[in-house]
Amino acid sequence: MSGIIELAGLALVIGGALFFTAGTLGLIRFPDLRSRLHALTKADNLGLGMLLAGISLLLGSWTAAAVLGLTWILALGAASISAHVLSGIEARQQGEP
Amino acid sequence: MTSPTEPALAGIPIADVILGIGVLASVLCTIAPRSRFAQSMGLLGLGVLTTLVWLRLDSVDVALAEASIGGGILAAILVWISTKAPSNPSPDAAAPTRWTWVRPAVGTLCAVTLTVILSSVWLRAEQALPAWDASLSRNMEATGVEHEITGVLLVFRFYDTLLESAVLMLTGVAVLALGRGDAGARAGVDVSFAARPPIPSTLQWFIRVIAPVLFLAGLWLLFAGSSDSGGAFQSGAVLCAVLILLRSAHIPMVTLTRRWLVPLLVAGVLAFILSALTHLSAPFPFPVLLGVEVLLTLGIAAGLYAIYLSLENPA
Repeated sequence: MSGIIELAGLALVIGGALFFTAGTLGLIRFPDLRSRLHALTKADNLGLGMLLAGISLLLGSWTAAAVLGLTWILALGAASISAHVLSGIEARQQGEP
Repeated sequence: MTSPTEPALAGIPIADVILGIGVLASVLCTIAPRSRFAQSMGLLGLGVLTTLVWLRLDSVDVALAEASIGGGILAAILVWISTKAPSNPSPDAAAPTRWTWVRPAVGTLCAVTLTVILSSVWLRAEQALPAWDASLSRNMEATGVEHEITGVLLVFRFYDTLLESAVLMLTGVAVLALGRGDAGARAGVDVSFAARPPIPSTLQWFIRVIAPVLFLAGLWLLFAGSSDSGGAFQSGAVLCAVLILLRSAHIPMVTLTRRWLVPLLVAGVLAFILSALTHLSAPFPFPVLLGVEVLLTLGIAAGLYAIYLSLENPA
């Protein structure tokens, strides 16, 4: 049983790292601000969630899982709010309503 | 390198090698590009990797301090500078550049030399660790704290901690004194409110939600410092981050910045010196230790916040 949990945790960590890599690639390669924000907020947040889920599986502790879950929620909020603010600033600079 | 260190180098895990290469690469990213933005980003990446290095060396305290001060506060200051400061290139940047490879090459050489020296120092210092450990655990009762690192920082290396806090305090005082405006950065608080761009209400809402959580995390770091990783410097950096967030959400803190910043800045160091003078031979009682730690934390947060505020009214 512990072997399965460990395998699942490792798979989640590796998958999370892959999503992070995809998000970073998008941040570098995408042409404009909104596409880059899209890459950051979608891919990186999913990657972070998978990474944290894998870590809490590997740690095997409910307290750690709760703290990491709280971390993820706060990171989700921070990412979406900052993306909203940044795209709002860009829209204002380009003269859109 | 001499031959005795070679077996130790051969036993380094592959992850450490990758981490070392990453640190060198981010140093290159910091010094090689011309754009100020790219350099700031390189330095921030370097901060993250340095935190990982400290974690690998089992120094969670230093890693926390590096992550909060080096990564968080420095990030706020650097982003501010790279967006607000005039982007004129420095005079020598306009001159035609010859031998563009020289600077990166010299930087890489210096980094490699420093890494080799530091790692050899580390490898040699490890052999003396047990003796240090034994004398430390013998003397731990005299300190009044349970955690070894807190004991070392607060009692055995009292002067170090005092001078670190005092340097931060003096920097804060200098920053407040040199800031433009009628009384330095303090007076610029409500003046610059109107000049700043409007922010969406969602940001304000989110910061109002997240600030208590961060505040709680900062306090937890402070109190965890007596028995676990954490302490005044880490906690002060997190509290300063709360202040910076509240300020960027345009939440008015005029009373705090005008009336309380300077007393808080000075109180920690003064309490530290006074408590040391009154307990020259006896160990610190725990309430005194707690009071000193709390005041030091507030002083560190106030000093860092003063430095951040000064960026809005540069001299």
